[in-house]
Amino acid sequence: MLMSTKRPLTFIAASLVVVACAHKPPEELREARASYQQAAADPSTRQETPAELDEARRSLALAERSFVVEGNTPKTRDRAYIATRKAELARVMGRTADYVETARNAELWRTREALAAEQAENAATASRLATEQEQRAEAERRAALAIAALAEIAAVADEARGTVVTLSGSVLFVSGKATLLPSATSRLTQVAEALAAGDPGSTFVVEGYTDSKGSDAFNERLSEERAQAVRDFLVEHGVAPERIQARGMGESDPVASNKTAEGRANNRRVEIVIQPPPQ
Amino acid sequence: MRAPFISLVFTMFAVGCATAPSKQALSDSAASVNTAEQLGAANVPQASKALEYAQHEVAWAKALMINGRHERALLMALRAESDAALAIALVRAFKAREAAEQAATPGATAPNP
Repeated sequence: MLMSTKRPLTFIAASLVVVACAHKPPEELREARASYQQAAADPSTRQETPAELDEARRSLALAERSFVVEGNTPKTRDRAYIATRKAELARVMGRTADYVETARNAELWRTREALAAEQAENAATASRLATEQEQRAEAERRAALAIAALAEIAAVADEARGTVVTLSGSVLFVSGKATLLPSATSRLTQVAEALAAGDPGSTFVVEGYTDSKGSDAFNERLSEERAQAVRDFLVEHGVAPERIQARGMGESDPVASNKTAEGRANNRRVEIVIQPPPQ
Repeated sequence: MRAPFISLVFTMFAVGCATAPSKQALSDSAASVNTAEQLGAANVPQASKALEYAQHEVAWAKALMINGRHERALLMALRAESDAALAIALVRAFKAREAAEQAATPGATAPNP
């Protein structure tokens, strides 16, 4: 009796197991559901690849329907497998879009930084040029004022070698010597002030000249000593020593005939050549 | 005499209709596998696995077709297609990530992914 009741119970239990297994979703379908849920919950996937996500949803629906209609069959499992891959595809494509965006942003940022650096450099260059231009204009203004001041006390001429200020030798020196006359100091002081106040980039060459009387050697030495005496005076009165040189020219380059007293007087001279700064 | 002939024509037509979609799907998936291979999927860790699956599924789909199991062959070809598409996407993701990392490096120039 006990055996006869046990057999139907075992049969029913076994049948229930078979029915339950037949209705239990296959592993592939459960995986497909989880993959789709992950993809649908991912903001990048939702935003960047909505079409692919929708495709994954439709594939999953197909697999679900297949499971309902056919049960746990190879075809259902194939459809679930495809649905899983579609969900993964949507997620991967969403991630790719994020990477592309990141790279683009980095490139944009770098371009912006490079542009800002270039603009800053341009602004600095413009500012430097403006300052240089102002300094140049100021130097030119000072040079013009200095030349104007010199023109009042000496002959001034523009030549290829620079602006030449000519001072008469007889006004500056004791005859035949390199000693400055007391009366010359006032004029030379004005010259020194004008030179010192002029363009700070200018340089000066003091050239001593004699007439043709006396030996060449004597004239050479006298012209050199006179040029040096003028240079020393100018340095003592404010002209920077590194800006000024002295040079004896002897009886060369006469400006007048040495045959007349007046011509020789004109040839005995000191020239100060003002050389503008190199551009 | 005429009835068997008509029956034969109908049978041939039915068989032709059943094989056409799986043939097309197989051709499409084989093309996708080819693209994944050309993109270098075999050299990208995750993509190589997907490519391997796709290659295996293409072979499987061919075998199913030869055995006349066209419906299953179609599904297998579609599986291959989805794996090949995933392999391609993984290669692109890998390259895009490399480009993003390079772009984030100071002084580097980002190549187009």
